[in-house]
Amino acid sequence: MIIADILAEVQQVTHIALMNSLKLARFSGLVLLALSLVLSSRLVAQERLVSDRVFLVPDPKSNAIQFQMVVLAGSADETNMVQFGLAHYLEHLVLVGRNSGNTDAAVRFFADGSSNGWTNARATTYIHRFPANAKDVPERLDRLFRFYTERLSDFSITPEDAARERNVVRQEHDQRYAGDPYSATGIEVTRYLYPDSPMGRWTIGTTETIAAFSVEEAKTFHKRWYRKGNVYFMVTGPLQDALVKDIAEKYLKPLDASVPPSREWVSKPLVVKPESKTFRKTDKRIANASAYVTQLFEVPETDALKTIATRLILSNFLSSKLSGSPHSALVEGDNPVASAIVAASVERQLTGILSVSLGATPELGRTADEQVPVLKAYLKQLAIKGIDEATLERLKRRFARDYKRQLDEPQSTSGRLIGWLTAPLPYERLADLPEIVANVTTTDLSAMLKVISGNGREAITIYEPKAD
Amino acid sequence: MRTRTARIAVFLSVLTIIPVGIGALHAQTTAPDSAFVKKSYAISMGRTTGGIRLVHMRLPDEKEQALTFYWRDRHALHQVDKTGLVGLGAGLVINGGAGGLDAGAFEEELKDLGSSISLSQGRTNTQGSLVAPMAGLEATGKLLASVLTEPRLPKITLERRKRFFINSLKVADEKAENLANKALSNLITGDHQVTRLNNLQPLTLISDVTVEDVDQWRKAVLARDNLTVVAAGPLSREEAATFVDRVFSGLPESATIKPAIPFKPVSLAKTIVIERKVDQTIILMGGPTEWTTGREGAERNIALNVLGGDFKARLFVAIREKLGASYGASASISGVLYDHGIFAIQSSVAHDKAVAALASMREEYRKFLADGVTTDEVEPLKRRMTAGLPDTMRRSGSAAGSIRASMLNGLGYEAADEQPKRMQSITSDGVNVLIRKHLPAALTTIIVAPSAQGLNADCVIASLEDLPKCSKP
Repeated sequence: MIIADILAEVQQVTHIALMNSLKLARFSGLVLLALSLVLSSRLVAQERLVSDRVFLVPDPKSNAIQFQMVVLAGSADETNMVQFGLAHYLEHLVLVGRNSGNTDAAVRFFADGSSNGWTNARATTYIHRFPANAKDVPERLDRLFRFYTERLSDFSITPEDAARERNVVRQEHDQRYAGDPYSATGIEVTRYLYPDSPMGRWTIGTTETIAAFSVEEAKTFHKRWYRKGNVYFMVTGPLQDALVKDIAEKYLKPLDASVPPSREWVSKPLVVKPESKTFRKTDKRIANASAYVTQLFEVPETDALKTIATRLILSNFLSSKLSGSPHSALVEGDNPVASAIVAASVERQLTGILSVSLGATPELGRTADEQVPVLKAYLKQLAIKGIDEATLERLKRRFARDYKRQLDEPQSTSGRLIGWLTAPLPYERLADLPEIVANVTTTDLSAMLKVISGNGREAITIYEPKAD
Repeated sequence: MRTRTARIAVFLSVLTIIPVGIGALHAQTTAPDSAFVKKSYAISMGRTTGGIRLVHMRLPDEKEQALTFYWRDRHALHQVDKTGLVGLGAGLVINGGAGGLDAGAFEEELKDLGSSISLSQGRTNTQGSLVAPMAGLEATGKLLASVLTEPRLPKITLERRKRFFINSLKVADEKAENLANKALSNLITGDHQVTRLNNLQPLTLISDVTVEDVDQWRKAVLARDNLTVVAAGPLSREEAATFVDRVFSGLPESATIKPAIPFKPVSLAKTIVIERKVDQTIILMGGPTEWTTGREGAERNIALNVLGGDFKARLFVAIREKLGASYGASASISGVLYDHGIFAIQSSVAHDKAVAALASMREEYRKFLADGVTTDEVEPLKRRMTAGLPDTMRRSGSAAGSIRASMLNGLGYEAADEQPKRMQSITSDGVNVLIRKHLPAALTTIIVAPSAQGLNADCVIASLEDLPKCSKP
C-alpha cells in the first residue's frame, strides 16, 4: 500500500472499458508497491524524459508495448454543474471518434492489441497495448502519436455517436453505482465533506447531469484542457530512446505550447469547516453492519512531501496488525469490540488537507452505532501514546524495500508516475521521496496525530442490513 | 548474490530430481524471425527425495522465488451436512496464526519479509502459494510449514468467518447479476451435490462447521503424496527440491482421497423471467458445455473473445455500438465440475432496449454457431495471446501460477513451451469445428427485469424458490 496512500483519491474513477478496466484502485495497488524508501543512496528511476512531456520506460525483456496519454484534467476541473461528468463523457468521445488517420474507433486501434481509458477527479488517461514483436512497431507508435496529437488540436464526433455514448455512460452509471447502497451513501458523504469543492462530486455525474451532456460543452472542456502543455505521454517496452523521441517530436513540436489556465481546486486552498453529521443506510443489500468515521483536517504544510511521507507511515501503521494498531486494539484481545477493521487510512487529499478514515464491523452482540465512540476514542488514545521508535523503523524498512522493488519493475513505473504527476506533484521531486520518508521521526508522527485527533469536519456513516 | 548462494548451500543436502522433459530442443528448432517468438522455458518435472511431485522452472535473474502448489481434494463434494467447509477451511488455516504467532503477528512477520503465502479450497482441489524475496525465503518457508502443520485454528476466527459468510450469502441474491447466474447454474446442475455447493442452503451447512471439522479436513487432504509443487525463481532444481522437502516435510505421508461423484448436466432451453425492481434488465443466456481450458483451451479462448471479449467483439458491437443499450456484453465459460462448465453470454441493458438487446444477442449467437469465426478475427487474437506468454513467464509468481493452471487444466507442466507452436497451428476452421462440437445449440435465457411484458417468457417467477416450477418440461 503505497501510492494509494500518496495519491488519496476521494473521487470515483470511471472508465470506458467493459471489464478488465483499469481502476484507480488497481493502479494504486501497483503503485503502492512502488514507493518505499532508500536509507543511504538515491535510487535510479527506470523512466527517461526523452522529450518535452514524453517519458520512455525501457523494458527490454517485455513482449508488450504500452502507450499512454495522460491529460491533467478530470472532473474536478469541470465548471458546468448542469452537465457535470463531462470529463468522463469526453473520454468516451475521444475513444470512439475517428480522424483522417484512423477510420475506426480508437478503442479498436490495433487488432492484436487492447485499448482503454479512465477518468478521475484529477486526470484522464488513454491506454493502448500491443505486442512488441509486431513487425510495424515504429508505424504503430507513429499512428498513436499522430492520433492523439490531432486529438489535442480538435476532435469530431457524429451526432449519432455522441448520443449513443451518452446512453452508454448512463448504462455505465447504472451498472456500477445505481444498485449499490454503498455508492449512494458514499456520494452523499463526499458531497458533505467537500461542500464547496469539486472534490465533493463523483466523476461519472448523476442521471440528470448525464442526460444533459452536450458535444458543445465537451468541446469547451476539451479546448481548455487538451493541449500539449497539459499532457504527458508515457511509452513502456523494449524500445530505444531515439525512436520514441523522433516520433514524438515530429508530432508534438508543431503544437501550440501555451500553458493551460490554473486549476482552481489546486490554487485555491480548501477551508475546512468543523462540524459533524451522521449518515445512515439500512438496506437489504448490505451484508454486515459497519461504522465509519471519516474526518477532514487542515494541517500545517511547509513541504508537501513531508506531509506525504509522514502520512504514508501513519497510514501503513493504521492498516497493519502491529501492536497498537486499530486491529490489535479493537479486534484482538480478550474483550474484542470489533470483528474486523474495514477502513484505516490517512490521505493527503489537497494541499494542507488530510482525511482520516476508520471503519469497523461490530463484534457479535454489539451494534454499529456502538463502534463510533470506540473508533473516535482509539484515535485520541493513539495521539496520546504516539508510535514508538521501533515500530517507526520497522515501517520505514518495509517502505524502503517495497520502493526499491517497485523501481526494479518497469511495468509498474507508469502507474507510479501517473499517480505522482496527477496528484499533482512536480516530477523533479519524485526522487526525493525515499529520503524524506527515511527521515520521518516519531515527533513528526505525533504532530500529525495531534492534528487528526482534534476537531475536523466529520462524517459518521452507519451501514446496517435490513431485516426481513 | 554470492552471499545468498552460499547461505542456501548450507541447507542443501541430497538432490534427487529427475528431469522428465525439457524444452531446450524447441528453442533450437524455432525460426528466430517467426511472428511467434519461440521460448524455451526449460520446465522439468520429477520427485523430491521426500516423494513430492515437483515441477521446476529456473529464472536466474529474478529476485523472488515462488512456489505454487495443489492437493487433489474432493471433500467439499462429500460434505453433505457441512458443505460450508469449502468456504471456511483453508481460510481458517491460513488466517488463524500458527505455532507461537497469533494471526496478526503472523501477518506482520510476512510483511517484514516482503513475502506472501496463500491457501484456498475449491471443489476438486486445494491450492496455495508462496512468494518471497531470496533474502527472506528460508524464513517464509518456515512460516508456511508452521501454518500447514501447526495452525492455531482459533474458534473466534471461525465464528467470525461463518457470520460474514452467512450474512454475505443472505444478501447475494439481491444483486441481479448474481441472481441470474445462480438461476442458470441451478437449472444446469439439477439435484447434484454441486448445487448444494452453489447455494449453501440451509445455512446450517455453514453454521454447523466446527474447528474439529477443519482440522479433520486439513489432516485428511494436506499430505505429501497428494501434493504437487511448482517452483519458479532463482533456485536450481536441486535447491528447490530441498527447500520443498523442508517446507512440506511435516505433512502426513498420505492423504485420504474421496472418490469422484459422477455429474451429468441438465439441458433446458427456456426463457425464464425473474420479475424484480432492478436498475437495468439483466439478460443471461447459457447452457452446459464440456469445452475445457485443456487441450482445446486456446481455441476456446479465441471463440469467447470473438463473441464477447473486448471492444472488437461481436456482442460489444451489436449491443453497445449499434443499440447503445449497454455498457458492455460478455461471453464466458465457467467451470462447474471436472470437465463440465457453463457457457454464457450476458449483458446489463436499459429497460427500454431490453427487447431489442435480447433479439440482438440471440441473433449474434445464431450467426456465431452457423458461420463461426473468420481468419481476420482469429489471427490477431493468436498474436495477442502468444505475445502475452513471455511476460507471464518472466516473473516467478506469474510463471509458477501459469504452470500450475496448465497442470490443473490437463495441459501438463510443459504447456508454456508448447504454446507458441500450438497457437501457430490454430485456424479459423479448427475453431469452428470446436464451436459446433461444444457450444449448445439452444440456450436457456434468464432475464431479471421489472416486468416480463414483451419478453415472450416460458416461465415468470418472483424468486429462486420458484425456479423448480420452470424446470418442468
